Amino acid sequence: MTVWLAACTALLVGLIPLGVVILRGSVLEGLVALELASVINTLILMLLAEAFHRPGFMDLALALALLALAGGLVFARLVERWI
Amino acid sequence: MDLSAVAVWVLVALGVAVELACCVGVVVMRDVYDKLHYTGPATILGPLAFAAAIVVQEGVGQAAVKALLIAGLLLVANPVLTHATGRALYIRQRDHLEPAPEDGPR
Repeated sequence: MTVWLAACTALLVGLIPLGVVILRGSVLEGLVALELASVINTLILMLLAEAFHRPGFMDLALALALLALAGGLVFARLVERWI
Repeated sequence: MDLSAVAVWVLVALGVAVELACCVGVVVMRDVYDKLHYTGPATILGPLAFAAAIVVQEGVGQAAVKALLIAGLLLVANPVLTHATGRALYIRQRDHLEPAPEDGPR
């Protein structure tokens, strides 16, 4: 196992407590956990692309980073009053 | 193991440690504002450490440029998201964005 795959595995473990917060916390606590989970997922995709020597796959991480920003803003706007 | 391999290990370990510490912080803190603070290091230190590790491993190339681009994007996106989330919490708690009369004169 390379250092990149080991890092991916460790980051995947970090997603578990965030999932617990999303499931059991309030709406805004869940939003904060979701934002952090999006960052970690972006990093996992980046590390996987490096682990398998496919730099083209880093576009997936780039797309996720962009979409997570848009999604987070939409969620934050909805959570203000409507959820 | 040469020096660059050691540097890669150290940078990746630093990035993982920062991300996991932030995960723990989000779980442990009780207030949402406190939880919000832990998204900062996770979107600044972690991505920069991973991007630096990729630059050390690959040199300047497609992978390094994209990794730095991702780290830069996360660096810019985090303050925007943090502000939007904090604003949402403030409005949700007080039902308005302006200071309340009980807050006193500014």
